[in-house]
Amino acid sequence: MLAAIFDLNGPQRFVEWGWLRITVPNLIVVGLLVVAFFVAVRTRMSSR
Amino acid sequence: MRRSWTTAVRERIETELPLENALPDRQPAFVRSTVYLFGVGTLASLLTVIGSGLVLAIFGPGWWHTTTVGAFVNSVHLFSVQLMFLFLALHFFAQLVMATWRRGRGVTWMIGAFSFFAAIVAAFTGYASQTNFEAQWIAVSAKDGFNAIGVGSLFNTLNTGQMLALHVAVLPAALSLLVAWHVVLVRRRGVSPPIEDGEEMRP
Repeated sequence: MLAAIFDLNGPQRFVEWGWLRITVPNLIVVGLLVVAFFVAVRTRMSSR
Repeated sequence: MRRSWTTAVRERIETELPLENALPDRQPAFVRSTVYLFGVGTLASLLTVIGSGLVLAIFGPGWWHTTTVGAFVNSVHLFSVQLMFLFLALHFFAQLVMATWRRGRGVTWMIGAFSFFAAIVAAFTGYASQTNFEAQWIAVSAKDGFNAIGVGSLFNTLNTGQMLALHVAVLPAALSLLVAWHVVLVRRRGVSPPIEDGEEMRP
């Protein structure tokens, strides 16, 4: 189903910014990692 | 009377890693932070990788390439690896900013770094062991790099048998030992506490 939403047929798309060149999926993953890190730093597990 | 080596090992374990430390039921309050879950997330992913890898090893490439269940287990293997590296990256970054090599935990940090390296080599040999066109492409591309640094005759990415044997035997054994050692060291010293004001960042 995801393949129907995201067209995976075709060449990679890149984001280019100065010396930085990264594929869109990798950029999304890096963004998710950064978000997950800060969410984890800010949240606490419930105590028993 | 001479002490036997079993007695020496038992006494060493009792001194260095008492059961209360090895299997604790309480942790300091700071461990409530969700950031401490990245390590166990990495471990859980690694167990899934090993479990799905065992199933793939039993049934073989003919099964994972041609049947839907095989393709599913193959995907579980791939995506648990992806998850493991995501958790590993977060675990590594979290430990870096918390400087967790402090207070005698330098060896724990180094063993973790060696585990990271072993996991990367395990992943690369896995890419070369898929027995598909992608594996061929990766192996042919990688061989030039290894030839350039002079180890091509020892580590030949075009040798599927060598890549598969390293991937399913040598590297999982090395990685499991390193990770077990890492966890034992964490349990021995306890979870690294937060940095105090003015504390030096030395190991």
